[in-house]
Amino acid sequence: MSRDPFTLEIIGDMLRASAVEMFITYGRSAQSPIIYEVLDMGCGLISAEGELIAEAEGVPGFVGCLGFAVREVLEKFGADALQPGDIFACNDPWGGGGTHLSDVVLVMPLFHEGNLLAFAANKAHWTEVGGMAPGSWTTDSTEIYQEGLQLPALRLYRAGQPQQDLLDILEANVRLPEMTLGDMYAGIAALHAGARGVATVCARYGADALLEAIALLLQRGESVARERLAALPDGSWFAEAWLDDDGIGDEPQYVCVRVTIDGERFIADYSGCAPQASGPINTTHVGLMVVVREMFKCVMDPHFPNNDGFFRPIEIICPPGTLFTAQRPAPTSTYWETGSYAAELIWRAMYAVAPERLSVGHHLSICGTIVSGEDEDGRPWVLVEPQAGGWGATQQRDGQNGLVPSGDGETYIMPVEICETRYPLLVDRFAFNTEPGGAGRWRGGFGLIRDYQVTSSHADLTASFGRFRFPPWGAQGGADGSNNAIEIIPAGQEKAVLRTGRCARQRLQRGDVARLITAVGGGFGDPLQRDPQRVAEDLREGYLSPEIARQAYGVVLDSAGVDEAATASLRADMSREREHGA
Amino acid sequence: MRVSVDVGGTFTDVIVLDEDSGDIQLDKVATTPANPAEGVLQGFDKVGAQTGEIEYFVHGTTLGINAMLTRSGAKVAFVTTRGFRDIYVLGRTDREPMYDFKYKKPKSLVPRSLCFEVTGRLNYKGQVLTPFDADQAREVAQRIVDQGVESVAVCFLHSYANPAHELAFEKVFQEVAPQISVTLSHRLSRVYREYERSSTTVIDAYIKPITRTYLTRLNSELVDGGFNGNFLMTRSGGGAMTLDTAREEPAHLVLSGPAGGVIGGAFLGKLIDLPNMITVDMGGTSLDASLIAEGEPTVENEQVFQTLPISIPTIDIHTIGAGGGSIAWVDEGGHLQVGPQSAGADPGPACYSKGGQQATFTDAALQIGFLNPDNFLGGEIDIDPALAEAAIDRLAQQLGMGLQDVAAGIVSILEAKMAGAVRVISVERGYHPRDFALCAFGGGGAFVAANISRELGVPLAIIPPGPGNFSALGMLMVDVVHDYARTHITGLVDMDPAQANQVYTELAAQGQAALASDGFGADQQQYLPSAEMRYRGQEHTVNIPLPGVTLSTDDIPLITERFHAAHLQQYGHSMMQDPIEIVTLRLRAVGLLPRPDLARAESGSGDLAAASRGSRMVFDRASGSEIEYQVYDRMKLGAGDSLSGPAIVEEPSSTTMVHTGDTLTVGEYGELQIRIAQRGDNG
Repeated sequence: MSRDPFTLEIIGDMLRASAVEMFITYGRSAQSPIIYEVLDMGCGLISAEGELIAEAEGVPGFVGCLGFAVREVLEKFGADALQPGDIFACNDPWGGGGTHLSDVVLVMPLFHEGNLLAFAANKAHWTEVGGMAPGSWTTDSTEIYQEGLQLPALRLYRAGQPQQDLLDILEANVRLPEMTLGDMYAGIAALHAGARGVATVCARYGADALLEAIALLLQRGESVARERLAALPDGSWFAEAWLDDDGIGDEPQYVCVRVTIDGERFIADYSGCAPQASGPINTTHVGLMVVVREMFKCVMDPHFPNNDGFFRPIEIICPPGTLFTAQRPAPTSTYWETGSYAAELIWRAMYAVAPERLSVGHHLSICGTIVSGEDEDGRPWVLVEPQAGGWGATQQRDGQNGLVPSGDGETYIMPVEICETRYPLLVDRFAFNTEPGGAGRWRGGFGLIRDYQVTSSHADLTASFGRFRFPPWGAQGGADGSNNAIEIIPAGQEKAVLRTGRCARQRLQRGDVARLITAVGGGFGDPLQRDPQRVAEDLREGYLSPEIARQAYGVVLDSAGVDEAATASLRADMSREREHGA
Repeated sequence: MRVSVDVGGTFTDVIVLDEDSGDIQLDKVATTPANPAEGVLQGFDKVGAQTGEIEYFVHGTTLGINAMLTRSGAKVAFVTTRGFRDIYVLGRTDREPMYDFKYKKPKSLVPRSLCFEVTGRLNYKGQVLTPFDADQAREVAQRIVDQGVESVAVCFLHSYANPAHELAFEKVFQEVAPQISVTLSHRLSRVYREYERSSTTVIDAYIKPITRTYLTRLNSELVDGGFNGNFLMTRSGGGAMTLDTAREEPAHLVLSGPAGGVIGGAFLGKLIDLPNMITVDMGGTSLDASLIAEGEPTVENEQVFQTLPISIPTIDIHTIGAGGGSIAWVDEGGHLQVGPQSAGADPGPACYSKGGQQATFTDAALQIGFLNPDNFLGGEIDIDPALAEAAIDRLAQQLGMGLQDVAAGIVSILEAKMAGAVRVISVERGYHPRDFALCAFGGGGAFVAANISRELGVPLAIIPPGPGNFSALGMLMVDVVHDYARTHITGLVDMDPAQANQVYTELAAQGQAALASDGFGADQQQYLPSAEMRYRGQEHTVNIPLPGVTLSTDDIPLITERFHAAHLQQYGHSMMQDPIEIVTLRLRAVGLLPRPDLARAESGSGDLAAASRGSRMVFDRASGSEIEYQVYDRMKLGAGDSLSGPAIVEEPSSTTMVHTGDTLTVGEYGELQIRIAQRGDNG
C-alpha cells in the first residue's frame, strides 16, 4: 500500500469521524440530562504521547483537557503498565481534569498487535459525584473536599474487567447512583466507538500509516498555526478586568494579561492577577492552559480541524497561587467564573490587533444553575444546566441573541417540555431579555429570561452568574451591555425580594419563582450612526421602545416610520451636547 | 399504465411503466422553474404517455425544500402559549463551530413581529392549568389577518399530550379567516420538545401555500388533459400520500424527491434478494446516501434540513456537497481539497467549454482516462479534454506535483469523502457495510460505486438499469402510507397491555379512516406497529417493531430481546439488567397498491465481442503507471454476461468502473452486479 499524502488525509478524516461517533454515542446513551439534552461534553482521540489528534464539536474547554488527562495516566502508570481494555477516570483539576470535579474524563489506551497506538478519551459533566451539595458543584465550598469524589486517574477497568471495589465507592458516595453509573457506562460505550474507528484505520491501512498520519496531522497543525501567527504584527498588548467578587465575599478581584507576539511565539503573561480565592471560583494551571489554547484557536483560525500541534507556539506565564493557578486544596466548583476571564483578557488584548475576527463583550458566564429537591415519593432530583445569553456586536452586524457563552459550544438549553416532564417545576416564561444596553451602530444581542416556578413543597437553588456587576464591554463608541442576574420572586408577588449574582441552596417554597436573567451583549460603534431604518425595525420587532430609540439612538419614530428631519436634528443636538458635555 | 415524474433542479425525469408487459420507458426534459407543471406535461409528451390511460401518477418534487433553501415560502404567523412568544425565533442556543466567536445563527422563517401569544396553559400530563382564552385568540386572529399573513403555524406547550387548546384556536381562527390555512403542531407530531415541534409546524405552514397552488394547478392541467387516475406524492418518510393529504401536510414532502431512489433501492433489493442495501445517488452537485435494512429504508424521527429541525418520520438520507461538478482547490496550507463548492450545470466542469475555469471531479476523471469524451449524455454534450487538462495543470503547478498525480488525487479525495458520507448512515448508525450491497445511481453513482464499496468493505455493488432515472423508477414502487404516534410512557415489564392496546385501537381507527378515504378496501390495508423505547433514565430512544397491534404480556420477552439487540447494534452496548421503558407508540398504516413487475433482461450470449468498444489507458495512482481498461457498451450486454476488471462499461447517461480484481455479472433484471475485490487485510 502506497502512503501518499492523500491516504494520510483520508486517515485524518476517519479519525475525526470516529470522534464524532464517540460524541453521538455518549449523548444518545447517557443518563444525565446535562449530557443527553445539553451535550455538556467533549470527545477526541489522543496520540500515544498525549497530544489531541482529532475532536468532535462539543465543549471546547472539555476537549482541551483530554490530552492532559492522558498525560496524567502516562505519568502515573507509565506506558508499559497499560493493557488493552484498561479504562481510567480523571477529574482532578490539577491533573487531567482541569475544570471541576463534576466533569469526569474517561481514558482508554488503544493497542494494535500489542503496541500502544493512541487513546480514546471523553469528558462529560456527570450530574452527581457526591460532595456537600446536590449536583456536587456549589457556590459556598471553601475546599475541594466538599465538592465530591476526586478521581486521580483511577483504573476503573483493568484489561476489560470492571474494578468492582471502585464502582462500589462511586455508587455509595453519590446521590443519584443509577445516573452516575449510567453516565459512566455511556462514556465507556463512547470510548469503544473511538476504539472501533482506530481499529478500522489499522485494518485498512496498517498501524504504521496511522502513526504517520498522526505525526503529519500534528505537524500540519503546528505549521498552520505558525503561518497564522506570522500574519499578525509583532507586538505586545495589555488587558485588565475586574471580577465581581472572590466567590464568598463582595470585594471585586483584579485580573490582567500581557499578550506578546514575537513572530515565533504567542506569550500570555498573567503576572499581577489577584491571589487564589477562598470561594470556589478558582482555576488551576491546567485549566488556564486549556482556555488560552481555546482563545488562541479562536483568534488564529476557528475552522481549521483542531489538534494539539496547533498549540505549540503558545507560552503561558503565571505565578502559582493566583485565581488562574490556584493550589490544592482550593475549591474549583465555579471555575468558569475565572476561566472565562482568562479567555476574556486575551480576547480584549487581541481585539486591539484583530477586531475584525472577534465580537465585542458577551454574557461570558456559563451561568451554571442547579435546582434540586425531592419528589412526592421522597426521591431526590437535581436539575443542572448552563444558560445562554446575549453576544456582542461585530464590525458588520448586530450581536447574536441567546447563544451559549464562549466556554460552551455545541451545547443546548433544556426544552421547557422536557424540563416540566422531569422535574416538579413550571417554566412561566422563556423569552428574550430586551432591557436597554449594548446600543451601537451595531447593537448587542439579547439575553434570555427563564422563570422557574416551584410546584413541589420546596426546592433549592444554587447558581453562579458572574458579570452581575461588570457588564459586557462595547467598543468604538458602542455601549456596554447589561448584567446577568438571579432574582427570587415569592409566591403570589410581582417584585423580586432578592437580586444577586450568586446563591447557594437558596430555599424556594411552592409557588416561588426563580428568575434567571442573562445579559444583553456589548455594542459596536456610535449608536448615533446606526441606520435609522434598523432602529425602526427593532421597534417593529418589539426589541426596543420609542423612548430608547430617542435616548440611545437619536431616532424619532412616528406611525409612518422614521421621521428623517426630526432624527437629523435630534442627532445633531446629541452630538453637540456630547462634545460640550465631555 | 403507471407514470412517475421526478422534478429536479435541472432535469425533470419521466418514467412510464406498462403494467402488463413490465416494460419501462424513460426520458428527461428540462425543468421549467416558472411552472413545473409544464415540464411534467412536456415529459408525458416526450415519452408518449396518453394522460387518459394513466392509472397511477406518482410524483416527487423538491419544491418544498427549495422554498426553504431560498427562503421564498409564505408569510407565516406563529402562535404559541403566553410567556413563550420567542421560543421559535430563539431556536437552539448552540454554537456548532465551537471556536467561532463570530458565529451567526440561521435565520428563522418567521420574524418576531409575527409571533403571537395566547393565554391557556397545560402541564406535561395534558391537564389544564389555565383555561384557553378564546376572546384573546380572536383578537390575535384579527391581528394576524391585518398583517397580511398567508399561513399560520400553531404550537402550544404540551399539545402532544392534549391538543384541545390547539383545536380551540383553529376553531376561532376559522371563524375569523376561513381562507387562511392553519397548521396545528399535534397533527404533525405528538412528541415533546417545543422548539423542534414548532419548527416542524412552521415548515409545514411555510411551504403549504406554494405546494397547494402547485399541486392544484398540476392536477387541474392533468384533469384537463383527460387524467382520471390516482395522483400520489412520494413522502419524506417513505411510501406515498394522496394529493389531498399532500395539500394538508406538505411537511411530509420535504424529501419527496430523493426518497424515490431509496424506495427504488428497497424494491430492487427485494427482487434480487438483497434486502440489505446502501443507496448512493450522485448528481452534479451533491451525493445522497441512505441505508435499507432487511428491506426497509431506515427512518429517523428527527432531522434537520437547511438548519431547520423537523420532527416527523423521515428517511435517513445524508447529503454532502460531492458530485461531478465538485471543484478542486488548494487550501491555505498548500493541500489539495475537493468540494463542497460545485460548478453545477452552468458553467459546469472546465471540459464543458462553457467558461468554467476551475478543475472539477469530472475533469479529473476525464484526464486520467476514466471517462470517454464522446459519451457525455450519450454524446449530447461537447467535451474539450484540453480545457480539463489546462485547469488541472494550474493546480499541479500550485502544488508542485505531476498533472496525472493531481488528477488521480482529486478522484481519490472525493471518493473518500463519499465513503465518509456512507459511513455516517452505516457505521455511525451501528451497521457494518460488509453486510450490505451498495446500489449506486444518479449520473455519477456507477462511476464511484466500486471504490466507495472497497473503501468501506462492501462486497457487492449494484448498478440498476437506467441509473440516471432511478429515483423516478423508485417512485413507481410505492404504497400509500400514513404515520401516527402517541407519547405513552410506561415501564415495559410492568406495562398494562390493555392501555397500549387502547392507544392502538385509536391510532388504527385513524388509519382505517384515512385509508378508507384514500379508497383502500380492508384487504389492501396493512398496519405496522412499533414502539420507541429506552433504558429508564435515558432520553433518546430506539424504535422497535412490535409483533402486532394487540399486545399481551406474552409478547414482553420478545420485545425485551429486540430492544437489547437494537441498542447493542446502534450504540455498541446494551444494559441487560436495566429496566426498559416505552416512550412512544407508533403505527404506520399502509394502503397496498398492486406491485408492478419489472421486465427481465434478455439473456446474453456470453460472447462479449459484440459489446466491445476497444480499450483505454487509465492512469493508476498506486503504481504511477497506466493500465489498460477494456471498454464495453452496456446496451449490448445481456443477463448472465460477465467480465473482469480492469474494464469500463458505458451507457448514454452513465459510466461504470470495474477495477482490477473486480468482476461484473449482468443480473436477470439487467442490473450490473460488481463483486468487489477487498483489500488484503480487510476483515
